[in-house]
Amino acid sequence: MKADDIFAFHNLTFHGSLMNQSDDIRWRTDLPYSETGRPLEWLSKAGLNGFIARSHGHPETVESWVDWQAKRRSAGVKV
Amino acid sequence: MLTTPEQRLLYDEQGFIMIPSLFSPEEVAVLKAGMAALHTDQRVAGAERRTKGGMVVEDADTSRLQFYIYRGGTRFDLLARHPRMARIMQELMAVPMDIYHSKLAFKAAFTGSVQFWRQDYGYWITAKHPQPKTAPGAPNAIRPSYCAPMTR
Repeated sequence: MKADDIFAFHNLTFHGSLMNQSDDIRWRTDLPYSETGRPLEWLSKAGLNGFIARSHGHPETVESWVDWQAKRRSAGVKV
Repeated sequence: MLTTPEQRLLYDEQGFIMIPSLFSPEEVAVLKAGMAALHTDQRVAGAERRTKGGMVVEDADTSRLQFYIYRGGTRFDLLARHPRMARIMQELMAVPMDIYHSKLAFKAAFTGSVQFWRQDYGYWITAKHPQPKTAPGAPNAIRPSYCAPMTR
């Protein structure tokens, strides 16, 4: 891969990485996206869904980050 | 659409797809500068194993992981919602989506460690989704990993 490429894969796709044998640090950015409303382990235990920043189809579900953070803190979710 | 029907079909059938040259050299340079800033922040922060900022370090001078980069305050939060990035993922997933996790990983030069074959299903509630199965023909490096199911 080059620095300007992205590699998109499903979360059930087997993946791994080999040893970095170059003379510099190799870095990557992981950005996992999920279907809105799909239960996530650490949030669902606290009765929360993911934070929804914008929605054309269901604008009533949008929350502010500050409000959602407060809800998360009150539910005892640490991260 | 930014993806072709052939690319979307390939993703559906094999579970992965490479999108080459999504970003310009100027955009990559911006991200590299952002990475350098995170690295510098860590050197200043010292040698805690994991700081409040979500950085995992090997020692005082060596950071290995930065979690939560999609949150505000870094250039990587812009990457997560970049119109090209988000639109491509939207086209591949074809459902309303949100981002639920993120990290920036630094792999050491020369001896950077292998990351074993794994799946990332652990963040979902496994009771509602199929248990992963060993892929036929996969290398023998497969073993239970840190992405093993978190809930029972």
